[in-house]
This record gives sequence, C-alpha cells and structure tokens, in this order.
Amino acid sequence: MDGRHQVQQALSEVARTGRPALDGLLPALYEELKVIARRHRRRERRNPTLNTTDLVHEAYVKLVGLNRISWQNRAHVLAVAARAMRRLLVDHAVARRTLKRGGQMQRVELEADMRTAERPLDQLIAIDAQLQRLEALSPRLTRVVECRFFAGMSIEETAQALDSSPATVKRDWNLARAWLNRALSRQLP
Amino acid sequence: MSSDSLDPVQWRQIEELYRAACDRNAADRPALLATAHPDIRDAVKSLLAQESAEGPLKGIAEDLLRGDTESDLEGVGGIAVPLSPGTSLGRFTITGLVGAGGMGAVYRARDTRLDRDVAIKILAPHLTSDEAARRRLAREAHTIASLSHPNIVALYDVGEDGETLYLVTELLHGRTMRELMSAGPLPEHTVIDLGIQVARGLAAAHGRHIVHRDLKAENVFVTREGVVKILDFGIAKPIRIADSPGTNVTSAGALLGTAGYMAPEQLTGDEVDGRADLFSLGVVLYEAATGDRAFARATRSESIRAVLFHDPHEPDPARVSPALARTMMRCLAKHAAERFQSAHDLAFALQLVAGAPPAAGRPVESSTPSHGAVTRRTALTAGLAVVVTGVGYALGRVRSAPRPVSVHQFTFRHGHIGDARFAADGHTVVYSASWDGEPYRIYSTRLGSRESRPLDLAPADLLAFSRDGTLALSTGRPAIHGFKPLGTLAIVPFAGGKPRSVDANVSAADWGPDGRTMAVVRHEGTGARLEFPAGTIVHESVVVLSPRISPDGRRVCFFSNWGTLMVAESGGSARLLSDGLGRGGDCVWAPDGNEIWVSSSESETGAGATHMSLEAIDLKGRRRVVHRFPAYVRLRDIAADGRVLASSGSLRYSVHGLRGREHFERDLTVHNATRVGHFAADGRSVLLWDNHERAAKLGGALLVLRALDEAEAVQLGFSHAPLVLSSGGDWVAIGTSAHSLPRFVFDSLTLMPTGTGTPRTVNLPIQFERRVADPTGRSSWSDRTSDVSADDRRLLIPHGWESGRPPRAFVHDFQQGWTKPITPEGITGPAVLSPDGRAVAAMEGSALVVYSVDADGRRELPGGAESGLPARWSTDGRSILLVEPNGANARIVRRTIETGRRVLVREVRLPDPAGVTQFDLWVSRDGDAYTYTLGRRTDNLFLIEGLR
Repeated sequence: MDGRHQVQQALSEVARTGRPALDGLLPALYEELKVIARRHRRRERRNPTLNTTDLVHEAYVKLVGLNRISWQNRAHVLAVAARAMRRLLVDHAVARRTLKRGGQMQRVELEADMRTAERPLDQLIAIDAQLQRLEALSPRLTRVVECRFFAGMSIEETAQALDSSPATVKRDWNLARAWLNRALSRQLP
Repeated sequence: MSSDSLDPVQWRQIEELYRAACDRNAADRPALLATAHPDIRDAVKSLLAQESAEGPLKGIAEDLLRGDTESDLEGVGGIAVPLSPGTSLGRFTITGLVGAGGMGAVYRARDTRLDRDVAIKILAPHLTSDEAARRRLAREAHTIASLSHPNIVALYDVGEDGETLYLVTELLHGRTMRELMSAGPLPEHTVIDLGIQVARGLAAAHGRHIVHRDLKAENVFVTREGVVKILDFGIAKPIRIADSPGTNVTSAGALLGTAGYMAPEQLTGDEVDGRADLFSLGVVLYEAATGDRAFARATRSESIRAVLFHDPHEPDPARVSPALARTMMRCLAKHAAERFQSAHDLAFALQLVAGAPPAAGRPVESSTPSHGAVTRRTALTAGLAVVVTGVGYALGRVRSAPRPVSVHQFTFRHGHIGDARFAADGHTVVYSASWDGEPYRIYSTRLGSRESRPLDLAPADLLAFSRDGTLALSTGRPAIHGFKPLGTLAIVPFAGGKPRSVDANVSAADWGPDGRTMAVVRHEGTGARLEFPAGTIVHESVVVLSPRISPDGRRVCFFSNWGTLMVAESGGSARLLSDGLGRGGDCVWAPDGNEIWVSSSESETGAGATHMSLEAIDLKGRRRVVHRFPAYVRLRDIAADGRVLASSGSLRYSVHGLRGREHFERDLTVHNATRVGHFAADGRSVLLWDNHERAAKLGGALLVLRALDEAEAVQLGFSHAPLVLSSGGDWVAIGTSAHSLPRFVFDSLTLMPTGTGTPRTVNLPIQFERRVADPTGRSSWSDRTSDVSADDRRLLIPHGWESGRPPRAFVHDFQQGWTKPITPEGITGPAVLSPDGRAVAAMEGSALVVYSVDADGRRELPGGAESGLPARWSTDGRSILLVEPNGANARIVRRTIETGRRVLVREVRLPDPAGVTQFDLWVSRDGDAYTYTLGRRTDNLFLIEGLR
C-alpha cells in the first residue's frame, strides 16, 4: 500500500476517533523516514545542521502535506513520527552491529569509520532497552523521550504533540532523563 | 532499590515526590524527602542526583545521522529479505546470491528463455524510489547496453517486477581489483595492463557522454582470462542531462560515489566530466602499484579534505617506475585541466609506459579483446623516464581518414635534452643532454637502437649539426642556465678532432646548407643580436631564440622573444611572420622550405604546460595546427622525409623555502610554474608569480603573496613583472610600461596594495628590465631583481638605462621623486640596497663594491675576489649576504663590509639535481630564512612519424 494513502486512512481514523491511529501511521512513517534519512545521508552528509527533527518534519510533509490536517492532528502525527524515528535508529544500530560482527554485507571502505561509530550504536541500543522498561512504568515519559530525544523536538513542540503543557513536558523530560541516566550509568561502562 | 522491582503504583509515588522536590529549592528538599517511604526516597534521591549530570543521552541520535561517524543507514535497506533460490523474476530464475553492496544485491540466475546463466542486480530501493529516478536508470541502462565494449560488463536487459528494478548482466568469473590487491601491490606490468583496459572502457563510455562517477577497485572486475570489466555503470549519469529542470537529477547525483576515489570537482559539486573518472582510475592504479590508497584517511571527512587539498606521496621509485608514477600522478591532479584530457590519452600514455607501441591510426577504444593481456610481455626499461606524450587530434580540420601517427621514444634517462639534430643520412641523431645533474654532453644514436653513445668530447651543449657533419657546440654553458644560456661557440667534426673556439657570448647558432655559412646569436650589453651571416646583424632584441637557416640557405627564421616568429633574408632585415604564437620558442623549417614548424604552448616558455601544439606557419604568416599533444613537447628537428624529432616531458617551476630552525623546507608552489618574485626582508613572506597555462590565458602571471609558515596564500592580481614586496608588507611594486616598449621592458612602477586600496603608478625617466644578467656566468641570468629600503622610501633597480645608454643600477626615491644612477654605465647585475637606503652593493667584475646613493662614494670590499652574488644587506647594515651558486648547491655567505671577513651562513643543496634549469636562491636580512625558485625540465627524445 502506498505510504501516503496509508497515512490518509490513518488520519481519517484520527479525525473519527479523536485518537492517534498508531497502527496505520507508524509503518508508513517508518518507511518514509528511512527513505529520507538515506537520501540525506548520501546527499548532505557533510551538512552539520542535519538532525533528526528535520527528518521527522520532512517525513511528515512528504506524507501529509503541510495544510491537509488540523494543527492538533499534525502534532499527533509528529509524535508517531518520533516513535518511528526511534525504531528506525534502533533498527539501524542493531543492523550495523550485526554487520560488524560478521554480517554478510560487505562494506569494506567503511571499516575505518566504524570504530568511532561502535560506541554510539551500543549506547543507542542500551537506551532503547531501558526505554522499553520505562514504558512499563510510564508510557507518557517514554513518549516524551521519543519526541525530545529521538525526534529532537523542543519542549513546546513536544507539548503540542502529546497534548500536554510545556511545564509538564519539562518536568517529565527531566525525570525521564534522570531515570535513564541512572539506569544507563549502571549499565554502561 | 532496583527499578525492575518497581510497579506502576510505586512509580507514580516516585514521580510525585520527584516533582515536588523539583519544585522546591535544594535546602527544602531533605524535609520533604524525610516524609516518604525509604525505598521511594532513595529512588528520588538518586534521580535528583542525575539532575546536573550531562549523561550519555547527549547528542547520540544526531551523531548517528551525521557523516563524521559515518552512520550507515544502508544497513536499514539491507534488512530487506534476500531472494531465495528458485524465486522467479520474469523469465529469470534465481540460483544463488553473489554479493551485496550499496547498489543492491547481485544474484546468479538462469535465463530460462535463452538458457544461459546471467547475473541479476536488484537495485537498492533508494536508487529507484521515484519515477524520475527509475526512468533515468532505465534510459542509462539502455545506453550502456548499446555500448558493447569488451571492458564494460555487458548489460543484457533491464527488468521490472512490481517496484523492483533489476539489471541483467553477463555472469563473470574472476575477482575484483579490490580482491586482487588484498595480498598487496600488483606487479607493474599488471597495473599498466589493467589500467589500459579500464581506460579503454572509459573511453568508450565517455564517447557516449556517460561518466561512471563511482569508479573504484570494487568496480573493476578482472575475469579469469585477465579481461577487465568495469562494473556498476548504473549510477553513472549522462554528461548532459536532457531532463526538464524540475527533476533534480544533478543534485541527487552530486554526492554519489565513494570518498577517497572521487575527483575534487565531484566532491565540490562542480560540473563533472570524463576527467573525473580518470582521477578515480588514478586512485585505483596508485593503490594497485603502491599498495596505498592515495587519499585514504581515518574518517570520511578527512578523506575528502585529502582529495581536495593534499597531493599523494610520490610513489617509491624503487617499486614504481618513474614513468608509471608520472602517469598516475597526472591522473591525480586536482584540476581536471591538468589531468589527461581523455581516457584515450591515458590509455596511450600507459601504452608508452609499457613500451608497447600503440596501434597506429587505429582508434584506441576499438581494441581487440585483450585476452591474456595481463601476461603480455612488457619491455620495461629500468631507467625509463618521462613518457607523457600522445596522439591528439587535428584541431579544426576535418579529415577523411585518421592519419597514422606513431611516436617512438629513444632516450630513457633522467634529466633534460639540450638540443637534437638529424644527421644528413636521416638515421643518425646527434643530441646533447644533461642527465642526472651532470653537465651537457654530446651523444649520438642510430634510430631503431636503444643505445646512445657519448661522443669523445669535453662537456658541451649542441647548437647545430651541418649537412657535411660538423658540429657547432656551446662550451662552458652550465646546465643550470636560466634564460640566457651563454657559452663559447666551438666547432668540431663529427668524425672526431679537437673543438675550435670561434666566438664568446653566444647563445644559439645554426649552419647553412653549404656547411660554411652560420647564423649566430651573440649577447652584448642589454640584449641579443642575430647575425646572418656571422658578422652581419639582421636583428636585435632582448632575447633571440632558435635561429634556423632555410634549406635553400637564403633565410633565417627565429623567435624574437617568446611567441614572436620572425624571418630575415641573408644580410637583410627581419620581418615579423607571426606574433602571439602561443608562446613558442622553437622553430624548424619544413623540408620544402615553404613552412616553418613551431612548438607552442599557452604558457610562457611552456612552463607547466600540459598541452602543446605543433603549428606550421607559411611565409605569408598563415597558421595551421599540425598536431596537438597532451604534454609538454618541444620541436627539435625535421628530417628531409618529414619525420620529426621532438622532446617531451615536463617543465616545472616550483618554490621552496625554509625559515628559522625548521628542519624541512616548505613547498610554496602555487601551480606548476611558480617563481619567486621577491622575498620579504624579514623572511616571513614571499611574493610569488606563476604563469601557468590558465593564468597565461587570463593575460599574465598570477601574483600571490604567501607566508612562509602558513598555508594561506593571498592572490594579488596578474603581472609578469613583480619587482619588490615592501618591507612593511603593505604593497607590491610591479613593472609596467607603455605598449610601445618590447615585452619585459618597463618604464614605470605600479604600487599595488596588498590589502585594500587603489594601485598607484610612478613613471620613471628610465627604462628597465626585471631580470639581470649574472656576471659570474655560473647562473647566467638571475631572476633576482629589485630591492627596497627598510622604510620603503627607496627602491633599487639593478638593470635600467637612459634612452640609448648602457645599463646600470638606479635608485628611485618615492618621497622626493628622483631616480638616480648609482653604478657606472655597464655595471649591472644582482645588487642590493642597504636597509637605510643610502648605499648599494653590486659586482664590478669579481669585486664587490659599495656605492653611496647620496654622494659620489665608491668603496671596494677588502678580501679579494668575490665568488658570490649579493643577495641581501644585513639588518645591522654592517655586512652583506651573498649567494655562491655551484650547480645544484648554493652557499649563503656573510661578508663584513669593514673588514671583508667571510663567514659561511648556510649551504642549500638540491636533493635531485637532474634536469634543473634554474636555481635562484633568496635570503632574509638576518640570514635565517631562505627561499628559492627551482626550474626543472625533464624530457626525453621521441621520433614522430606521420605528421604532415
């Protein structure tokens, strides 16, 4: 199914039920992010301003168009995109680590660079594991981390995306970060 | 308390307590926490402790997406489920996986209809994500399929299966060059052979306006039979995109390719043509020959910087022949204009390196399949030197059939050719050469033999060879002779005997057909004069080059200055035949006497030239291009049957410098025709000028100011005549003139600010030249010129003259506006100005003399004959620094004015003296810093047949 069509369906479901339709949106956004990220990597890898926020917004614009849905819904979609971004990065990190440990894809020319990439990959995977535990305790905090950390959204954007207030998001973000830092510092060297 | 044991209820308590604590200031927190359950309290405490920590969350996600950590999102695409054996794609059945890469996965498959094995490449989705990209790929695939070249992998079909686009190609057995090189460098003959095959494949593709853009060792496949197959033309794009402007094919293509292999213009997103592929091929060959990647660095961004800014190391001469090294380095030139201009040229040059003669008159790309080519016998001479020449293409002329032109190299040494002549029999060649930094000697060789034999003569350069076998020689001419190669004219029979000295201060001569008449260029005072016959002046100029007497003996052709071809009747006056003739300096009569052939380049005297033309000019001045060479080529002689004797190699000027206690000289070269214009008195910066081909096209030499200890270079403008860099460093003086004066003669100064400001011109009551003659004769012509006082008020002009008077040194005072003669008439040469501007030191014969500027004072330094040239007045004004040139060495000596005492300051040695034509050393006032111009011409002799 075409990604845009998928998104339109999901959006009409949002309009009908008033709740984000994760099931339809997530795979579409995931695919779109993948395409965009890959293109960015090829074309603008030296662009220091490239960040995950740009990717998420680009995926959104690509799939939804700028003026197609209400501001409220747009925020919801962005929250889902943040989640897709998390998945994309983690999948990528896992794939990369597999590669390093003898996967069959040959990327000889990248070997020199992989050394530097290995640590962040492991960290990313560790963060994801801790987030899965946090999800069991507080899904809301997990969403905040996805928006802030994986999609690089501001406090205000995150508040809009999660239908919350900036003050709450700020506190949630502090708490989630504290929790993650504590959990990770126990686990990471 | 571990968070594993938490439940959501406990967590809510933790959250509430944490928030409450956050809302209070630190002092109130203990009281708040004390009320809580110990487990909850501890958890909140540890969370609060994290508040100030930065933690590992910072920036990881962004880093992963950025280039510097080389996040490979490719892996995401690679997760796609591989096709299993038995899967059908159209009429093809997958039988196994061959490999996978950035372009997609490659499978072995069976073509069920044609019943043959093929390879199928499933293109990675990012290459086919939108309709425009798919269309483009499909179109290119069809173009590639139509190429049908033995060195490009054959493309059978392009198929679509739903969203999947796939290419069907011939199934190859063998290994990629990457795999071949995994065990280390390849043998030289293999490198050359593979290089030739790749170049031929590229030539075919470039001929269809297809640039590969991602050529690398992984994409060069070598079959078990030794045949090269270039892979992955898939991302290549046509040189000219015919798409509507709406599609962003160009931008999407901009950074395809692999860093470290991509040409600089590809990295910077500039227009890319086939020469970018030649750069990539250069990287591949370099790696194959040396085992090192020319631009490989630890990270991608460093690799990119290396491609853009760093030259690769010259390959070890013990492992890579100089000829192959040169060819590779030429591919790796940063500027496309300095590489081979076509894959044909490169294939041809590699063939010359291999010693294999090119197939005459046959287009290189339609070669026979090169089965077994890897094992081809390659007669590689160890001493094989410069072999960069090529069969180009006749300019602007349509010919019904390509003419067979063949080129045979017959000298193979390191150094340069003085001159060369056919003997009357047309099969013996006599030439002079300075090999390995030794003085010129005369050699003879029989064409067809690879041996040359030195004649039993004292060192001498060749000037002419008469029909009846008498040599005209120049004795005492140093190999490092700069621009005025003065010597003593001597004649000797080829058969043997003792040379008889005829005339001094001669730079060139030729024999008439009768073996008695001569044309001679003699130097006296300011300029050169051409005598024809000897004793009768037919022309006078600053420079007269290459006089050649016509076959009937009635005329002489010559260059009056570079680029100005003239002809004179015997005993008559000269007339201009062609001006602005490139910048040629070699002319030879065609055998019928109706045309004069010249070698010309865009750059001054051919310095740094990568292209030279052979042109023919008839006696009415009409020009035609005989041949273009993708190399530095000089015409030497033409035999009665039209065969041409030429030398080819390179002429390069570079600048090097060293400051203070550094151990290694810095290379300050701008392009490949850089010379020192002036060295700052404090030794911190140097004014450079570079008249490489492109600058010459823009109307002059590039003027560049460069600090000795910085990489920064400031481009100031264009001029042929840099005179001086002010002591304060805020302006530069150049020589300028009304256009009625000959080239390189000036009558005004223009002061150009190095920062902001407007130039100012100062007219002088004298005429002057930039270069000065070296009275010691050991460097003959010095590039060292003006000097300036420490307060920048006074400027020394060492070689000027009042109209009609002999030359002498002058000082100009900018404040008071006067220009004063300093030395007696006729006394000129390298001279220096004291820091206070009140004294000038110059050579009078072999004596160093100090002249007063403000009074009529003249004082000879005690201590006897001087063997050096004045190079700088010391900071304290009490001594003079001199340079004593001695071939490839130079000594910097300090002489105290009062006592004449002599102290050696430093000795500068050139590591490789071969081919050096100019070595001009400059020194700072404190003697701690120096810089020098190094002119090096390295060439060898070639016989060219088939030119008309």
